[in-house]
Amino acid sequence: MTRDEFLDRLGKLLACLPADQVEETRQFYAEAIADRMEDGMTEEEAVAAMGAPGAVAEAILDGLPAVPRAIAKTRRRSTALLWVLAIAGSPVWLPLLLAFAAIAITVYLCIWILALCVWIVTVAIGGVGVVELVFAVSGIVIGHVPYVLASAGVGLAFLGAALLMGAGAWTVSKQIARLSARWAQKAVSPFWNDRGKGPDSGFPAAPGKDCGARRSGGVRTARGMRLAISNE
Amino acid sequence: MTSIKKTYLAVAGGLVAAGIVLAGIGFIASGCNLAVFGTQIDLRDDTVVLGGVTVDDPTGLPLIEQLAAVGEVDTAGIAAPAAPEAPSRPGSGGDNSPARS
Repeated sequence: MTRDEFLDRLGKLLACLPADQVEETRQFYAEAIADRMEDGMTEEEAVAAMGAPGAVAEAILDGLPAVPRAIAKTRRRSTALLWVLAIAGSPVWLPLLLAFAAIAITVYLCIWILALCVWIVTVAIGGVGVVELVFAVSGIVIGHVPYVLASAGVGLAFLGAALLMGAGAWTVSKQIARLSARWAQKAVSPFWNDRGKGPDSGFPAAPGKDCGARRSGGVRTARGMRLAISNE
Repeated sequence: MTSIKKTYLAVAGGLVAAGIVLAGIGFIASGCNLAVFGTQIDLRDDTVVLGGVTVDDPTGLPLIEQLAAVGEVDTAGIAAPAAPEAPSRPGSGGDNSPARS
C-alpha cells in the first residue's frame, strides 16, 4: 500500500470526524511515514509500520472522549441515525446533561466557597484583634492599666493568629485552585480532553521531525486525540 | 522558604507571643481577675463595663461610644404636632343652624 492510498483510506474511515481533525491526522501520518522513509525504509515498509488503516482509525476513535466517540461512531454508521437518536433521545439526554452540568458547577462553586470560608475566618480573627486594640485605647482613656494590657495583648495575639492563618489560607487556596482545576478537567473529560497540552503527556503537541511516535507507539495531538502507530 | 515568608511568619509569631505575654501581665496586674478580659456594653440600660470597671459616661471612648449610641432615637428636634381646632358648638351661629318651630 502506498502512502497516498493509506492516507486516503484513513481519511475515509475518519470521515465521521470534523474535517480539520481529519486533515490534522492525515498530516501527522504523512510526516510519520516520511520520517521512516528518511530513516531508510521503503514506502511500503513505512506504511506497513503504521498498521492497517482500519486499526489506526479505530485507535484514533477510541482515543476520543466518551461523548465525541459515541457521536463519531454513530455518525460513521449513519448521519440520519445520529440525528434521529439526538432528537428522539433528547427527553433523556438533555435533562441528564443539564443535571450533570448543574452538579459539576455546584461542586466547583463549593470548592471555592470552602476557600472563601477559610479567608472569612481569617479576616474575622483579624477584625477581633483590631477591635481589641481599640478597646485597649478605651482602657487608656479611663485609666484602667490591667485592662489596657489585657486588651492590647489579646488584640496583638489575634492579629498574629490572623497573619498565621492568612499564610495557611493562602496555601489552602492554592491547593483548592489545583483541586478545582482537576475537577473542571474531570467534569469536561467526557466531552473534551486537554491531555496533549499537559506537561506530563510526554508527547509533542504536533508532529515534528522526530515525532516521538516510535518511542512510544503513539502521540497525542493538540486536540488530545490519540494517534496510534504500531511499533516494529 | 523565601526570606519574605520567613519574615512574615516571624512577625506573626512574634505578635502572638507578645500578645500572650501582654495579656498575661494584664491578668496578673488585675489580681488574676478573669473579668479583666471582659468588655460589656449593655444597650438596655446603657451600662458599659471595661475589664470589670463600670464606666458611667462612655463619651470619648472610641467605638464604645458609637456602640452605646446604637438604637437610640434622637427626639430633641421633633416637636409635638399642634392640636386641631375644636369644632364650633351647634346652634352657636352660622347659617346651618336648625330652624325652630
